[in-house]
Amino acid sequence: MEEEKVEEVLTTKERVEKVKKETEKLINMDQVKELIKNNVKEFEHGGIKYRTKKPNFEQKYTVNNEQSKKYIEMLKDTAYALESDLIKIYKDRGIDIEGLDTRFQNIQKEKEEIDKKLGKALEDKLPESDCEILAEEIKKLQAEQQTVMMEKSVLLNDSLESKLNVYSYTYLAYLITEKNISEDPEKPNWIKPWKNYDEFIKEDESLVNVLVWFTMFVARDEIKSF
Amino acid sequence: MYPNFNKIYTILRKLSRDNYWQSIYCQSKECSGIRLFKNNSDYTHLQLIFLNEISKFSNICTDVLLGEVSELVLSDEIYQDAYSFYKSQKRIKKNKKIKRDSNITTHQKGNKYHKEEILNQNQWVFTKIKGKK
Repeated sequence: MEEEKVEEVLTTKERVEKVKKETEKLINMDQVKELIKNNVKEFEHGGIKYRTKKPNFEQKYTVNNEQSKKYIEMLKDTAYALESDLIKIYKDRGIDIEGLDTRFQNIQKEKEEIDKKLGKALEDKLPESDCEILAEEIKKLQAEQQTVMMEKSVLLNDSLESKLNVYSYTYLAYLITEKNISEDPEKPNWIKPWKNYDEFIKEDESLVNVLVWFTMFVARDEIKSF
Repeated sequence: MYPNFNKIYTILRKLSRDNYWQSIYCQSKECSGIRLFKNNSDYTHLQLIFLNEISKFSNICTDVLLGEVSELVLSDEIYQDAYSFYKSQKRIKKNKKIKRDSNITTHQKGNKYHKEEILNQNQWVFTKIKGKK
């Protein structure tokens, strides 16, 4: 039993590292520069120009309704586990997720105290060596905090709430994406590319992934998260 | 898979400290024709975070110029964060103190609120002197 626990924790840590590496590869300076220039993201896929735009009130309203419907549907299905259920299951297996939250908050408090000391040291124009010691402590705490956060998110990745969030952003991607059907670059003609959501999810997987990815950038915090 | 927003925030912060964006930000405050983004309103979450970071760094630069903080603050983002946090905490503490020390007290009387100013200075009372017109 004890051995099993150790193996489980190591697997989680490996998964955390893997996710960290994979996501870091996908983001670079040029991509972020493009993302902040506008609230619309245009890109080409398979020779067709697409765009995703920050959702308007109607689109947000539609996606929130869809999210509620899906939530009730998932609740009725016993195949999905709520975060609270998963937390209990993990606890029985010796993994304390609530403990991760407490650890995160404690690190935050510790970090804020050092932040204050460092800020005062900079105001008092203390020597660089003094400031460097405090900065190193903050760096360590930040890294620790990030690992804790990632660990929690990997552990709860299979929860109903997490799956519902992915569904919501996928649905929103379907709502806010348009494609250009004009051949004249001076006069683009943007239309809705799919008749319905079912048609959208049958689309090429790589296109759907890219669209959901960009939707998360342009519409972050625009829909309620469970 | 969710995008790694921590990595994005790190890049946003690097960009916000760039001379190009800092000068556009300063100019946009003075000239209405200069804009940071293509969209004039309806900013995305990333754009708002970016604006916040630009403004934060601009304030730190001002403090350096005024000699209120060591120039060292400009060399590392950890220094900038720590200094901004320290300053905000100092401001909160100061505001609390001002509120506490304030001469204005508010008290509740029935359903109505009354503000009463307690005057520390001498109060002059004008009375009519008898016999004088």
